[in-house]
Amino acid sequence: MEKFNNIEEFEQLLQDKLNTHSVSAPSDVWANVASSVGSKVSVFSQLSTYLSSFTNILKVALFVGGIATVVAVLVAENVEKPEVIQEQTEETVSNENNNTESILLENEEASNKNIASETSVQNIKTAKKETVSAQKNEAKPDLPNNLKEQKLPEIQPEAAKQTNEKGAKNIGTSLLISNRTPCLNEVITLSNSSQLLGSWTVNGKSIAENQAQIDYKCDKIGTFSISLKSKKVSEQSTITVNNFATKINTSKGETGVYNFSLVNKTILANWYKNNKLISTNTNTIKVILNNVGQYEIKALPINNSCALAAITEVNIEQKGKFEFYTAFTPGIDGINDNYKVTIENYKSFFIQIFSAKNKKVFETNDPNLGWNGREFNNGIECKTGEYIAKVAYQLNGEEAKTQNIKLTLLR
Amino acid sequence: MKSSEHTNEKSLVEACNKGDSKALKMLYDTYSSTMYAICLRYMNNTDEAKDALQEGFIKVYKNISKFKFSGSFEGWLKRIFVNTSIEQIRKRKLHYDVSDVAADPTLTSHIETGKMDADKLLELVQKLPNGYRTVFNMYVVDGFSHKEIGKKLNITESTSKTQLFKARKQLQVWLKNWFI
Repeated sequence: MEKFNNIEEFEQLLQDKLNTHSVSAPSDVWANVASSVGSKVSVFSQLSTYLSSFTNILKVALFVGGIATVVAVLVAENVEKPEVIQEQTEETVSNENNNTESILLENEEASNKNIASETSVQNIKTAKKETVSAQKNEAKPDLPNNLKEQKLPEIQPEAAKQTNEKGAKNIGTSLLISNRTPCLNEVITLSNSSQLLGSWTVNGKSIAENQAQIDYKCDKIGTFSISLKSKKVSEQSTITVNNFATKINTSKGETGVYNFSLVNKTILANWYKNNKLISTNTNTIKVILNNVGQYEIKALPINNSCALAAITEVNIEQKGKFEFYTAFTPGIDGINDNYKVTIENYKSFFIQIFSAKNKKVFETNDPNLGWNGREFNNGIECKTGEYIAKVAYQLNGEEAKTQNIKLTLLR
Repeated sequence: MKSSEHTNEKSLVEACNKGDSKALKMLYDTYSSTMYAICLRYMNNTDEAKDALQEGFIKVYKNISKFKFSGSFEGWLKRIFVNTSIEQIRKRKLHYDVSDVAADPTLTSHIETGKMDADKLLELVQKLPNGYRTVFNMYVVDGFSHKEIGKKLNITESTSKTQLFKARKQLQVWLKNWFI
């Protein structure tokens, strides 16, 4: 095995090896990168190249004009079937954004599946808007001349879809709920896409009359049916109110190292020791607690807004001390006249002293009381010789112990 | 233009600059494993490293037109990934007062013996507590000065030095069998 003379030698090796090191990237990263950048570049850059020729601009203009006419006819035909159009629109959006959806879901990994699936629809819509506006900004002027007819079909669904969205707005009303999976006590906004006035109910109980938009405080956990009724519409939807507590598991390792982790492994938190931030964005921390005192360890979940803060306490007590000596000289010189052990910071203490013939001559649970060398129940002086002290004690932060001390009484 | 035609770095970069999606994929395939190793070195876990890798490539594609072939392309890429990792660490509000957060006292036994290869070294760096790791990576592997580290991480030069000192001390404890 090679050895290093000093840390610099080790660091040189580390620098050499790590600078050229490579690890296969996880397979899903490319898909996410491509969905954020690749597709955008490929569609729009190629399109802008195509448009760089004046003839092509004319072609596109004619084509878009044609599409617009077709769409206008379609919208007119669909006026009587608003639900169908809306469903189709949502489907198109979600199909086109499968990758965006997976990123969003990953970010919300820790939230429960209900939350993820319900919010994803909203997120997809928001993401779509952002992507569209980003695409407009990103179009580059200098691009390859390799696209031919293939570009035009790609524009078609985009143009048609936007028109469909506009069409749907005019012909139907849907409930707009600011958050369908709110946390307990969160205030959500309920409104409708046509801003119609109506009466609002939660689980059949009226909460507002003649309003287009209201704020509603979710004060109970569970799934609730929200409905809006007016002369023109009757719409219904549901929300799920969540909240949950997570607990901190504590385990003690060697030399004052404590491991704290949240029982729910998917929750990441910022951790505080006595309200001072000590670690961020993690499920588990290690903390060394050596100093005597009361410690409050708090975890504030950051990846799940419905998870409550968790707190645990650790009490580090003064370390105990136990010492003894093995001889004493009662009543000779005023020194070492009583036999005592030294014990500090203890939970329990009990001492018994026996003669060589196994006769108990002294016992107490008060370490300040010493044995004066006389039998404790009749005061008879004990003889010079060996005695056994049996001490049972428990120091702070330690297991209970017993200690047998062979001691000599000298006169 | 087909990706197989990008026989050299320059033509690959130029094709990426023009938005050729095959070239973008080829660029990714060529460099993602080196860049992922950088992210792994800086970040707390593989999920964070994946995020940094993704973010880094998005930046590369957005800024590739700014690369003027005045230096090495791989060096330019590496800088982007180091900076992206540092940015993400800063976003996660890493604080540098980690004196009471213990390093994992145990090492897997394979580090204690055998040959010191890149995987072992990476594992060691990853085991360092957050603050130590960032400064150690920047100073030792990526060659930043304490002044630069201080500026980038918004900490003082002396904090940077202390973190490096602690990181070195920790490594020496772990690797006591490796030193003569």
